[in-house]
Amino acid sequence: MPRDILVVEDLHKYFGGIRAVDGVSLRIPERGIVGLIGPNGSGKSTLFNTIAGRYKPDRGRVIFDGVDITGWKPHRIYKLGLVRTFQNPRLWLSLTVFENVLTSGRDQRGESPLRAPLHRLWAGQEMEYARKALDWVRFVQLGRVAASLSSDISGGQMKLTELARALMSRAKMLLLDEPAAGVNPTLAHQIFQNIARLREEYGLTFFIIEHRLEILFDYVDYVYVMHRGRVIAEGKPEEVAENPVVIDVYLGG
Amino acid sequence: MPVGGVVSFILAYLSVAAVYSLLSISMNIEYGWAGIPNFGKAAFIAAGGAAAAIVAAQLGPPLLLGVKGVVPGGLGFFAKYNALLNAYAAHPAATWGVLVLSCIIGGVIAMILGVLFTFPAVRLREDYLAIALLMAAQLVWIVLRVDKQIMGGTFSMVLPSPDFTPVARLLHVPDTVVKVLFLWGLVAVFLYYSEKLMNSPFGRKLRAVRDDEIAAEALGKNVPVSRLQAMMIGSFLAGVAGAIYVLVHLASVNPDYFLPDITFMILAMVLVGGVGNNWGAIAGAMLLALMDRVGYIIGSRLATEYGMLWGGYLYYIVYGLAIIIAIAFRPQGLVPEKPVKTPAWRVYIEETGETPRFLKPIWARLRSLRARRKGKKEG
Ligand SMILES: Nc1ncnc2c1ncn2[C@@H]1O[C@H](COP(=O)(O)OP(=O)(O)OP(=O)(O)O)[C@@H](O)[C@H]1O
Ligand SMILES: [Mg+2]
Repeated sequence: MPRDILVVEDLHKYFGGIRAVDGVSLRIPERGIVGLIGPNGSGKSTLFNTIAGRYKPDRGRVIFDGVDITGWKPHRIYKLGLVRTFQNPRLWLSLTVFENVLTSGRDQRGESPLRAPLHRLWAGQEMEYARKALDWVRFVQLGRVAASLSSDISGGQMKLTELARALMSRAKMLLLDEPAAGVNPTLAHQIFQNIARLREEYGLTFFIIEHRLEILFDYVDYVYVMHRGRVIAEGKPEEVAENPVVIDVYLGG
Repeated sequence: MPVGGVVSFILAYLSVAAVYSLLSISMNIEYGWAGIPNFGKAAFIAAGGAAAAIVAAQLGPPLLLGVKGVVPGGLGFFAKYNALLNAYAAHPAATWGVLVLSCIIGGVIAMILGVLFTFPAVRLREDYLAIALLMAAQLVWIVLRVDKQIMGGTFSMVLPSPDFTPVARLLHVPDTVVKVLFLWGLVAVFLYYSEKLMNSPFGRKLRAVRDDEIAAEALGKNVPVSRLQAMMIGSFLAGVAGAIYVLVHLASVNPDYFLPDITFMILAMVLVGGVGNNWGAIAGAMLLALMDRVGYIIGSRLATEYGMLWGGYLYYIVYGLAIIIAIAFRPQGLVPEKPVKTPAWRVYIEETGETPRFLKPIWARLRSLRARRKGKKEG
């Protein structure tokens, strides 16, 4: 039994009267690929936002890698190795695709304003990171647009840039909010194959929101289903697919 | 205009354009790179002005001249201070000491103010931060007017300008020529520093924070600290530039030099010249300084010869129009922002074997453009 790398206990996040996340508890095992599904507005993205520190929870706890990170700022959570992507891509639009990925590297010496003017203090690390960034850009098949401004690429390419950016961070666990939205089914399958490969090669853990269940269910070991801010079902993909409650929610809306 | 008039106009223009360039380079670090609309710029320039006044009257005499200093505002201040100015005039080296000390002290005070003013508001949205900074600058202006011990309150204080005569004699040119060369030398230093500073992972981090702060913090950047860093550097440079402004360019200081006018003038220079491009900041400063000078001459003619008193405010119209035209027709400015140049691109070129267009020198870009045009015509 692998240990649980992420534990969420009774998490609540309200927006005024809207109970976007209403008492969610879940566990993600290390090296797992776990799916999160649910109809529109069921609170999936809000759950990610609350785990990753964008929103402070109104109640509950988040424990990552044995550390209580409840209420931490996102940049500290990133440092521990939990990194997320956004449902609507949030790229740095004045930077190229290559630079978007490169900028996400951790502990860059040249980010200190005192060292920045003295290029030889960080040029070595910068070149090493540049090679890695280029590898990740190629890994998500964006080599052709690496030197394009990230404002000039398609929506699907933006999603892939988000993925490469998260991978560049050397995270232990990635929260991916619809990583294959806006890309064709062939490429979507490729993305999920790559995710499986990343788990094998680097031991990464994935928690993935995805609407296209027919693609998602081929790759995940476990699925949580959300509805109106709560987890209404969980289990292996084949169990969840046959769960009448889930079928009801998806058909009944 | 006689020839002498034209030459002195050009020298005066080059001098003011250099000072504005220093200021717009520092504003560009905050606004252009980090996206902080620093509506309180005047306060940080004032820090340099205050440092110059304090050094000239109080710190400089014991340190540089070996006599007692005087505190402005007291009885008989002007008589004692005039004696000090005469003593400075007899010691050219001491005037340079005043400049160096004022730059250091002014820069440090400005940097401290930058932290104090920004820290409480750094987590707020940009527009709130801008308003907080504007109010802070007004506060500084009021303090400078009321507290007569800093720069004498509302009376102007004459300052001991650095003496250019020894160098001018050596080169057989007028003092003002040396002064202009000196100021542009400082612009070169500021430009060199900020180009080095920004073409680095630090510059990329600031752009990331500016472009999308939510993504920046999700990917490990400490957004408030990044903003503070930009403010500290920008304010330090503004403090240094402020000391140079009052000592070298104006040779006097008065709290009213640090009204919000100067903030928005410099903001206009950055907007017109190119947000996020250091060369653009200089281009904007040069262009608006020229419009300012010409506008001043035309405006005072209108006022004195035709009784059109609004002529004296022509420069407000000039700046307003410049901002509107820039935002409406060329929001990227005269010289648009360039990608951040670091050794990472060397790796890119090595590994892919192709040089991105924006890294090619300008002549190569023009050549390929012309070749493409020609190809189109023939095809
Ligand atoms: N910042 C916010 N302020 C107010 N309400 C919000 C905010 N973010 C989300 N909500 C609300 O919370 C609820 C859950 O939204 P959320 O985006 O988490 O759903 P989702 O499951 O990700 O949906 P989708 O599948 O469409 O992405 C919705 O009712 C939404 O309107
Ligand atoms: Mg969502």
